[in-house]
Amino acid sequence: MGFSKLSEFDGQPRPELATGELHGGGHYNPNQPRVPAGHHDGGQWTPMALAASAGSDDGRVLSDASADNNWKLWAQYAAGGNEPNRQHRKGVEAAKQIYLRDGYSVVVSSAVAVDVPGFETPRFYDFIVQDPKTKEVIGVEVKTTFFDTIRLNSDQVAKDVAVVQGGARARVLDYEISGVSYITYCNGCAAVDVRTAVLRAALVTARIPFRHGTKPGETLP
Amino acid sequence: MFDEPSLTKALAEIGYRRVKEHVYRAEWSSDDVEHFIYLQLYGYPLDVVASDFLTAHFGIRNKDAQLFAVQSLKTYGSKSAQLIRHDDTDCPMRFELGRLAGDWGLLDSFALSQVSGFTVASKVRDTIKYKVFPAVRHVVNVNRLLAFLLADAEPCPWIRCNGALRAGMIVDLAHRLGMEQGVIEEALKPYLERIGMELRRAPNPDPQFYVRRIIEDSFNEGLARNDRS
Repeated sequence: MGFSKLSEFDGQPRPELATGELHGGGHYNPNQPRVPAGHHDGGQWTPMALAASAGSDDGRVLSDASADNNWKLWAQYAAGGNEPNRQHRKGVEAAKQIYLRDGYSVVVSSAVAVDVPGFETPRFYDFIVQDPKTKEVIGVEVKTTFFDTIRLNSDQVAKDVAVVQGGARARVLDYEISGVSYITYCNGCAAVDVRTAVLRAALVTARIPFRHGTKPGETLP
Repeated sequence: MFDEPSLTKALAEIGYRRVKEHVYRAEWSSDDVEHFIYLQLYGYPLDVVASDFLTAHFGIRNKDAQLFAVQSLKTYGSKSAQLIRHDDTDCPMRFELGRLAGDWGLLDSFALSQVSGFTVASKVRDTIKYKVFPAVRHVVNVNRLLAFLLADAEPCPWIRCNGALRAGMIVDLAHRLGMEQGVIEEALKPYLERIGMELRRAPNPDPQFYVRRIIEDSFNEGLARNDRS
């Protein structure tokens, strides 16, 4: 049995992809409420506020006072309520739409475990996209918060840096992941404060970009 | 709440049998082509075991071709290719059911607290029956699998799979079906860019080099093929 007609196996033409930039903006607003001290955000709908081009990258320690009208929501989050999950998913979906709008291909649209060389446990990203220009496959971390402070996770950051430096492997599809990107959403704040400065600096050094949206669902510029 | 009994029952109606936790194999699979459904539960934070949301994939494979492809990528690919690990039921040619359905909810997933187990099971079953089957149900022999992998169409476009692994499977299947080396290389030409994406950090990132080498390996019973035994 053999094949001689190549035309049987020709693929369909691939769609042309537009290109786009994914670099965030924003600035630190000292009047925004903050998350209570000692909270571990771990990538949830947690305190956040932007970083990248912000001006908040000076490592200053901010007040832990929280606005009264946010306590109810915060208490629900602390108690494991459903609202934070819902808001986080909205943020992830909004982030996905932004990447699509900017010409990226969404390779995997939901949570993905990624094995990183040198680490025993996987790094999880909210979804995976492919850059239309560089063809790089990128794990996207979406950080959402009711307030304006993002607390980076040192384990996640260490893995992110390793991904960018040496590549990693998605368990679903066996894709090589070689880039990482963060998108942050808060509950209306103009900017987020990313902590700690040391972890943030590690991401900046690894050229891992941040974008910031003030609310899940909004369209970023 | 995750209602696996309802899902197991619904999937049985269309010929899938549970082989292990969250993995179902089509009973109408042949020795040549196996079909799978994979369920994935998650919650937030993502690194904590949770079952707040459910997403699912369908997968298709020829076991030998897959082994050849994985071994080829481990041989010629980047360092991270060594991390690929497969068990008896894995397959890299898998695609998201929720994306195909379009009505599962945010992130192509079900929020399990908001829909009944029966509804989830019915929707998963119907997505497979009406969206997946028209595209893959007929793929039960090596000939059809080769044609399927060589096409670049929904629901399984090249852009949403590992191109180097897909190329490896194509090479193995095409060789077994008697295609000549030049014909195989020609068939993969339209996909060199896609194949190359996976080789960006390989010692030699040239996709044409990769394709030629794995074709040679396949025909010469070379390193990759020998290593599978």
